[in-house]
Amino acid sequence: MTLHELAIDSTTKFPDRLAVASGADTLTYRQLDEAANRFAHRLRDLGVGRGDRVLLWSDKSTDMIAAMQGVLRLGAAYVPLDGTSPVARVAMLAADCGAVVVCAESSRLAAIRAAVDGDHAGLPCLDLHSESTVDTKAVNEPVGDDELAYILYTSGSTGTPKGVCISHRNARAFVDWAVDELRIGPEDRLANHAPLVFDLSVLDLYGAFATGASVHLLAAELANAPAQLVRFLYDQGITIWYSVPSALLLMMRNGGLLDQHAPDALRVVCFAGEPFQIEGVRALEAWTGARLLNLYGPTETNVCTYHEVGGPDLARQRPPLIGKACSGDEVWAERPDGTVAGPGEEGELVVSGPTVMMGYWGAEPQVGPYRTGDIVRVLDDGAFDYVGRRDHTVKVRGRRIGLGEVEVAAAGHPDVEDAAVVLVGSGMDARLAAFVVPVRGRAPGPLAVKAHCARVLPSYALPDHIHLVAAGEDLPRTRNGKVDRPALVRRHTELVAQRAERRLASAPAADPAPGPEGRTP
Amino acid sequence: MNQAEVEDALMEFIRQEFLWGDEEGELTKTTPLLEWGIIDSLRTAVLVGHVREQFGVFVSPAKINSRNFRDVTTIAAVVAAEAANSAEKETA
Repeated sequence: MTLHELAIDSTTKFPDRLAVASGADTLTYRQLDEAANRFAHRLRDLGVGRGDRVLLWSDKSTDMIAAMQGVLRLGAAYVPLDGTSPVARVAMLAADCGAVVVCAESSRLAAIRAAVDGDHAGLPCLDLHSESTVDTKAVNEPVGDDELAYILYTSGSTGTPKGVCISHRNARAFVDWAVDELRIGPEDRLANHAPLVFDLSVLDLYGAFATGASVHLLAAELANAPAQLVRFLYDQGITIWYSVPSALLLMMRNGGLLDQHAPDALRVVCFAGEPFQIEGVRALEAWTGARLLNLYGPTETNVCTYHEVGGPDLARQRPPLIGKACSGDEVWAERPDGTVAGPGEEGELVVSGPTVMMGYWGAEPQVGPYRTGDIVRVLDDGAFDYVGRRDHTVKVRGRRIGLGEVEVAAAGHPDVEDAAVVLVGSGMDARLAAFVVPVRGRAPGPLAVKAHCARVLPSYALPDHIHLVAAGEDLPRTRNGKVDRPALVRRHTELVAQRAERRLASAPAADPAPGPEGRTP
Repeated sequence: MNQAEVEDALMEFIRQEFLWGDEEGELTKTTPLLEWGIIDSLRTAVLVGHVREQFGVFVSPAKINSRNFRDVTTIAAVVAAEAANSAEKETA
């Protein structure tokens, strides 16, 4: 069964039901079907066929969703990128995945055309919104379960983004499990909080399309706007919410979520991407009777374990368990000596089964189980408790960031010799701090370094604080010569305190200036 | 309240809140705020809250998008337009 058959089948059963809503823009299943076919014809006219990759660079919109379906219907694979992705990154990734067409919003077409003209002139750039083709004849190319459906680019620890290749079988194994576990039906209304490049969105979109339910897109600009998120939840009559915990925390702390009765319609709240501190889970549980589920899995496997939060969890002083295997996967913890960890022991979580990716684009195919790099503890009943990461990847509001990629970007500035990046703060306040060693005699400003990073990094991976290492000094190193990251975190805390003191000293006495983030609404 | 005043106030707020005072004086009215990661959606919400407090202007969610929040000039234009809009409604 292919991924695009879901929307096609639901069109037959529920042609007039709402499929997608993006603000005031809505599509019924019939309209989505027609728009997807129209888009498929336009791509086919450009020669797109089975096995090709089509890059879609856009903010969320009904047209973007229709384009994704259109690409799949040709037996091709889509590669989604946020509208906020810098154009140089879009051009780089288009080249990386060998895209045969790049689709963008009207306002961004000129920029992407200029960017691709240098490196691989002749790559067609298509306007996502044009309605030039009226042909809505059904398109549904046969495609094998193990063929590519989409590529999601994630931040790599080595300095280059990695394209996670997901097959129809991979995606369906997760979607089918989710539909069953959450008992999604045509009456459901699913929120889409995550960006489309983030695998959380797969549940929102295809959970809806599999069942004739509707998916309600949240614009990226509103993804962290507390009052708007709460209003969206009520106004759209959301029944299934899925997001990173920090979005829920934001709604609780700053959006007044807990001040009103939980909406009767809301029946499932899923969260994933980072540990949800237990106080937040308790508050949520006291507020709503909806089922609360903690879903776990890297982009490479999508959701491979889950845990439904219940009584005993709330008594713990730790985030909820990540639970037990799902989506047809087998999951175990491996000790450093390669043996399987038993109850009470810790090990690296390893995943085998239908959701394990095909591999990274351009690399050898994934063979055998996938090692997540996450350390877990095995409980007596075989469930898993998340402990931490093995390598230098961090999460900022649920998005995985390879510190190496950010360091390479910062060090790419002509005035920067070396750079080290650390995560500071936690939860909603998590941010990246970069320490840059300037080239002798130069002193690049923080904004200049940010601007440089922004040319190649997605906005969620941009460093917030830029500290210039004093002339003649190096980054702190451990005995074996590696950058001492804990020392950098301490140094950051000192520097921030010093700056706050300086500002306090220079500010008028009547106006005690709060630090950044200090003035929460 | 004219647009230039709003621009100056926004500059000062962004410098103090998101750039540690911008001691290097790099921020300009056309610095691409979202693109360079100076503001993200979290800080956009803080900024919108500040505009409401300082100017009494409510920026409607439909106006909160990446075009309108590109830089200080575009944000100030939106704030001025929203202020004019609500003043019109009051006199109507």
